[in-house]
Amino acid sequence: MSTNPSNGGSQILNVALADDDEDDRLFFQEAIDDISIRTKLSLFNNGQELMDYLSLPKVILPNLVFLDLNMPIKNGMQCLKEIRANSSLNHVCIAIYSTSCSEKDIEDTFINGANIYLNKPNNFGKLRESIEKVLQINWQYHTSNLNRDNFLLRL
Amino acid sequence: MDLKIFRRIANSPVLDKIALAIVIVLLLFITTVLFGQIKTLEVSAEEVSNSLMIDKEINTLFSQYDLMESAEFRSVILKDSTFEESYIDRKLESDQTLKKLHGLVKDMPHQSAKLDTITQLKDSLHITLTALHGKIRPSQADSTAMIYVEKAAALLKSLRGIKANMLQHNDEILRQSLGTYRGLTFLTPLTTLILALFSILVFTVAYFRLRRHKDQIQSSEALLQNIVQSTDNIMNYYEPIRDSNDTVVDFRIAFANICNRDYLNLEPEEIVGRPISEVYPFVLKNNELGRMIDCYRNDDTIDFERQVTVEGEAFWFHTFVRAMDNGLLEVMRNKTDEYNAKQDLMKVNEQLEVQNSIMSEAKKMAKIGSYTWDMEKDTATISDNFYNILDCEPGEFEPSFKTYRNYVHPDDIEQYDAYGKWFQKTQKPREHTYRVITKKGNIKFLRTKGQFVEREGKKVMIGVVQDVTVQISYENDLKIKNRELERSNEELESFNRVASHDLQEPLRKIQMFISRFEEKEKDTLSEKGTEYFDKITEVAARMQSLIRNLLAYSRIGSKVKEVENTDLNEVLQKVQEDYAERIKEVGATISIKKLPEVQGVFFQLEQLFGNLVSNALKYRNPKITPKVEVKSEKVPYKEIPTKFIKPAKEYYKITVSDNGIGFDGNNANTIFEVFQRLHAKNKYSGNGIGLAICKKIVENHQGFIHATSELGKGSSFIIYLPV
Repeated sequence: MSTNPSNGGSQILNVALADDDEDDRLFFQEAIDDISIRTKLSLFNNGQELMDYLSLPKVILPNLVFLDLNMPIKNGMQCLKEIRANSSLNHVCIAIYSTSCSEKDIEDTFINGANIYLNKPNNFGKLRESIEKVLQINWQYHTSNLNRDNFLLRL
Repeated sequence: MDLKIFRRIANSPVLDKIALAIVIVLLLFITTVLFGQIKTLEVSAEEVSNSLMIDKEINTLFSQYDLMESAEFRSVILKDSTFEESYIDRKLESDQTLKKLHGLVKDMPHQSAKLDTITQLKDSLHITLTALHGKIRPSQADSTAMIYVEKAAALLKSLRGIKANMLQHNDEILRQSLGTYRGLTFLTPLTTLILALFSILVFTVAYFRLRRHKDQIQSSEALLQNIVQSTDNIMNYYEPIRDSNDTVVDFRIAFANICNRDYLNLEPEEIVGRPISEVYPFVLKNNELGRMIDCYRNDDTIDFERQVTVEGEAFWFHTFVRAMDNGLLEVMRNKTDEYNAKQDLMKVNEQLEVQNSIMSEAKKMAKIGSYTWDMEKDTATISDNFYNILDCEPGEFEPSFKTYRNYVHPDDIEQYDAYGKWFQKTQKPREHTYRVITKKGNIKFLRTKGQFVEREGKKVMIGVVQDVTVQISYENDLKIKNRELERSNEELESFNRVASHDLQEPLRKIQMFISRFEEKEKDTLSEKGTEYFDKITEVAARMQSLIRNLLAYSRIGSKVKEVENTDLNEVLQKVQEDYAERIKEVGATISIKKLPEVQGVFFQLEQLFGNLVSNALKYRNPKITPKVEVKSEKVPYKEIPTKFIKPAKEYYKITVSDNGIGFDGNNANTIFEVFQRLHAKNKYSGNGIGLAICKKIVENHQGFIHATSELGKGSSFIIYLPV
């Protein structure tokens, strides 16, 4: 695990990303660095690392977790299920961050309680834009209006 | 019972004859007796009169003798000379009387003997008296005269004795005759009376018997008449018609019953008296008339079938001809219904035979055998094909649960026994598949199903077996294939994952790096470097598009899972929204007519029409304003010229047409194949998957898509979707 202090500010958003791909973690880091919103990003190499971190005592829970689906050891779907099964993690919002754009994956993750589905873009500009949009969402409002139509983030 | 026998005997004609003979004999007997009695009476009456005559004559004779004597005595005493004459008279008279008496008593020996004695005595008396007369003359009344007197007296006394005797005898005879006579006079009228009474009795009995016979004949005649008129059969009586050689050539109808009208439309009154060859022309066919003439001549009985056509309708008659009382009786029974029924039956039988042979062929084809199993006796009959299934000759073994069990595969014996027990207990039909080892050692799978039926009061099981070896091996093959298919599907799935994730992943990263490079380092590149860099960007983009389309194509799958009522108007609305920017960019007009609602998957239909609209915009004629038109009409499946399987009766024909560059009509089919492109890559973007996807979507919706076009004159894509 590696944590990066983000830009200073009064409201720091705790964000976590579990992705086994080093390049993607790097792109994500760079994109989040470009965004003006103050965030604290924690990066994990796979699902297991994320879950281990979340179950640490006295941990500061992330507000938003980006989950890659295809990961070794523990994949994104397993993480999603475990998080949603744990009542202490009720307030954690989950964004799926995957290359897959299959209906099946979208459907399954929606059913299992993910909040938003984000396709990994092939353009850095789009990535930055997407992350910014996700971070700007008032999550409390968003969760209460959770529905299938705006689940997949479209740009 | 006894009474019946008695009555039968009483009515028998033999008894009549016997009775008649007896009556004749009795009458003859009584008459003879009567005749005899009358004859006897006559004789007896004669006898009586004879006796009386004799009596009278005897008295006359003896009175004459007395008179003779007294006359003599008188002459002697009176010296009368007249004596001579009266005496001779008397003597002559007495002789005559005596002669008469002789005639009367010639049949009575006793009286005859007496008469002979009388004759002797009379002669003696005569001599004596004559002698006496001579003595007196010389007047010598002396003692000698006295002797003669005495002698005469003695003779007379004897004569009187005889007379008494004769009279007594005659009296006896008379009494006897009278007895007979009186008896006869009583018997004869009685016999006459009996004869009369008996005759009356015989006549009376005969009268009543004749009367009864007549009644009987009348009633039986009436019965016969009734039968003849009420029978269902035509009954005719014919009399022969002879030619000059006295040969029978035809028959004349002497009697015809009412059925002639019913069946042949001939009025009985009108046909009587006419020749049958004229009334019934059909007798001239098949030499029927000839046979009838022979029948008459030989006093025979014949019968034959005859077909008669009346007003176009064919009737069949069984005809029975019998020679009778110098004529022919013909009875025609209408057998049309029977004949037709027989014909029908024969037809049905024929059909049944055909069906049976079809059935047996079908059994062979389908490898089906059948069995009937009497569980109580454990005997069974199995069809020939069942034997064939077991590689046996039909009837090779005596089928029973035990013998058949030998053919069951050892591994399936337990199951087979359990099945038998289950069946015996529940008596319910159930399917069961087991293996047998045939005579040739082949292992076959048999599927059997039986049921219980009542047959002759007991329950038997009937059922069929089918050799399902081939099916089972097919099933096994199918299972293996299915497993292979599942595996290949899984492989495809993993390929999809590879394609969607693993293949896209590096490409995406390349593009990411391109975008990073473009942002930060592009300015430092030389002109050539920038050119190369742009190429890299373009190729990467095309590769991404290719991968995405391939994925989309493979994801459509082969089955439309959740179809729902989909309004095509909404689909086209969505498509227009999706392509709004592009439409605006090329300045196209899109006209959409009223579209129907179809059964389908919304996003697939969206993709279908999206691709078509996108193609229309892509291959536009740059010189004119692009126009796209979407319209729909309903057509019956018969009016669809193109060949595809048409399960529905009606189809929606949806046409998407444009005024673009079009294509060569010869390529109308190839454009729907994957990776088929009609244009150079650099001229028009695209990867040759779009229309393949369209085709797959339409086929998933049990529809059909084809295209018509001419170069430069736009193209039309025609989609048929079931109503």
